[in-house]
Amino acid sequence: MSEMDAYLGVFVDEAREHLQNLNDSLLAIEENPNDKEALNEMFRSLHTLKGMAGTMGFERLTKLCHKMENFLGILRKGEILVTSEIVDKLFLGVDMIGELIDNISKTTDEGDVNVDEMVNTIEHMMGEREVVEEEVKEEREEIGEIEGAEEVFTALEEEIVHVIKEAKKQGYNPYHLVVKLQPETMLKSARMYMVFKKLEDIGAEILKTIPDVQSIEEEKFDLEVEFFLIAKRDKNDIRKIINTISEIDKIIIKDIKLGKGEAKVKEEKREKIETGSRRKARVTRTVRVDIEKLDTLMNLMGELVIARSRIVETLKKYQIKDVDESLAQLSRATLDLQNVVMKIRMIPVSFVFNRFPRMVRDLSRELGKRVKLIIRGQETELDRTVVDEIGDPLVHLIRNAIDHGIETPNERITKGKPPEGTVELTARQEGNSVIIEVADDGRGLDRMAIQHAAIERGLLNENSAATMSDEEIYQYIFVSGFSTKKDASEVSGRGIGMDVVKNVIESLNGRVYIQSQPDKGTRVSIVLPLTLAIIQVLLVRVAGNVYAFPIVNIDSTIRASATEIKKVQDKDVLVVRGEIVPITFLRRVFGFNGVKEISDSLNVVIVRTRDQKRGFVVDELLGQEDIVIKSLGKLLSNIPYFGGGAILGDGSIALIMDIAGIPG
Amino acid sequence: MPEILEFKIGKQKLAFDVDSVEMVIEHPKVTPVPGAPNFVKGIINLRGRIVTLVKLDEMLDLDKGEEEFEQVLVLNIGGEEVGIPVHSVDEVLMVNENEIETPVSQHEKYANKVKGIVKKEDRLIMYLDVRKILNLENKEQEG
Repeated sequence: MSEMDAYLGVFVDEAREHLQNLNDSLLAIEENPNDKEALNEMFRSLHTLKGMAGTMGFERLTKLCHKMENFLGILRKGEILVTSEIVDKLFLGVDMIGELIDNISKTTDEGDVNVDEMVNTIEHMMGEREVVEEEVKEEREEIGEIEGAEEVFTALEEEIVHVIKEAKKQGYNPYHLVVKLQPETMLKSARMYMVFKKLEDIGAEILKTIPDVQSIEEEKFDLEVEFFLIAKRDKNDIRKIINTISEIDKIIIKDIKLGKGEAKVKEEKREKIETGSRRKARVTRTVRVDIEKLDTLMNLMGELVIARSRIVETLKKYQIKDVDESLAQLSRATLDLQNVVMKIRMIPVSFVFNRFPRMVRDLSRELGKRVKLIIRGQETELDRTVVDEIGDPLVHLIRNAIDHGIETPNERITKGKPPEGTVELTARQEGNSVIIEVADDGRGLDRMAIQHAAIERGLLNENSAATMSDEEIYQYIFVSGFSTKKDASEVSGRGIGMDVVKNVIESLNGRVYIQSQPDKGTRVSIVLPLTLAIIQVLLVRVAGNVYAFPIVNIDSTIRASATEIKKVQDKDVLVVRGEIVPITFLRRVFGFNGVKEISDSLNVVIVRTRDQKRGFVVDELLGQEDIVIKSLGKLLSNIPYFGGGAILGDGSIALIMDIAGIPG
Repeated sequence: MPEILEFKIGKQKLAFDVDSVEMVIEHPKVTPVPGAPNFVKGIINLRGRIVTLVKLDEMLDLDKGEEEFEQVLVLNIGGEEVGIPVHSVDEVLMVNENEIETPVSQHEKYANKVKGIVKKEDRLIMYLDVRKILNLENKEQEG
């Protein structure tokens, strides 16, 4: 197995793609049971997955895929009609495949999943029909070819010629074998390894390969590998044995005849292969890169940006014309480079969106609702780290939309709406942000219920509630543990997990907005920065040091006189546009003392936190800047006030404020 | 045979494994980090990277005297860079195992942090265990 471990990562990646494919095609089949293309697609995915699992030695996965593949074979022939019961069973099967893949990815082992029951269920559904197996074989049968009986070689190395001569004396036959993989094959080396293994199993000895073994291991070949081997078995046997490996497109096996015959045959062949590979090379021009390497690249990029701005700053004083021009060029180049590097880290949001059609299907069934999911803009790209994080918040939002937003079909009919509700999941880019929205056409948020609950929990009083806009009231559903349902046995009000949603989005420097209209529906918008590595900040000075507030957190900056700050319950507060805002003196919190805080005119940065606004008194406002976030290192990973640092144009360091960590 | 780098804080002679020292730099401007543990002096900009400065004198309860630190030893421990302000960096020494005396731990603060006392000619050098001093393993688990 140890040779195989190297391929495990690729296997899991590829298997997940097939799993997604299975889910997608099964959803299409459910929509339209006569969708031949979807049936074929599912059949093909199962077939490939089976082959991959077999290669890697995952027996249960192979068995399950095998059974499902056979069953799909019957379905696509139309021998059994696709019913919703069958689709449900197939979904269960697909889920089990997912479970096995998950286990493999976590523990390199299939875990304790028992596939027998599922296999039995499928067998039961198939009844007596066990014909598909042959069909599959038939298809494969065409793959193996024996083109002509023998081939004449003149260009073989003397050593090999010698071995072949000796082997012939001992009853071995020399063969020239060409194995060609299917164009889409991803685990190419693993597949070829299987060929080696099969050949060794039957006692064949491989004398030479083109390309050589090392190139095969490093996957430095297109689709074809040539083997020169000696074996006692008949070439038909060998062909059959190789044919059991999946994803093989073509097998050509010929006797090797040594002699002075014409070398032409071979040369012609080589030429063909070469033209073939040249064409292929253009199609597959991608490289898998470790995300860590991209992080390093991003860091270096950051250093370059900083170095550039330092040079610019230094040279500005001298106003040298010639330098100005080259500086402008340097600036352009670094900016372009920065954009390219950022783009490399981007992946489409479809990576998370993909899982939702299946989830919406399951959930709406479970809740007895009819829901259509419309996905738009799934090609919109986001920083990989962001994409990895937004999955859970989106699950919460879509779940809420279906559970609490969309009404039952009957309820909808009485309201004059179509019985089928719609949930729209859209993504789009606007400037330096990406906006992801989850909108439903359900019953909308109940302003009064939220308001009541907020008052009951003491978050708000009647008077101020009356003056607040709907949007402001809706913000209360983000308060942890907030629910409009009074009955404790109810699983959820709309508040379930909404605080989690907000926390995650804010940790990504994003923001969440809600719009809602009674009986028209609710729209939750998430605004995320395109990238996490570079953010916009407001730089401030406190006691001679520079600190950075992420712009997304900032509400406004104001000047206030010291007398405007009042004490309420021993806490400093400031009234800003009728709202009471708790004030924190950063000098005090940071342990710097000085006269500045008592000065008459105070600079206050107002920020929005989870539940409320807060004000921070700083010495001086320095302005906005784009900065590259840097880690503070392991020793400072758990400190309360700062989430990272940034190096400024003059080489000094600004600490980036983590507002939630600063005591009020 | 370990190779060690001898340096001074106050009058105390100390040493680290040479392998763990990445470079020696002039003491740069330090940015304080409010809320950081006591043994952290602050952070510095080391060629575009942010590196934490650690007060070894505070950690080991050494008398650092009145003199300002002039140099910083930059250690690299498994990719993590940490700076230690020192008064002087003296020399690289080859030490025989028999020249290292196992420490008699009289002081709580030195426990587990010292690999031994190196006796070279008439000098006594405290040979420190970098990893244990910075306790990065624990930090990894926490973080």
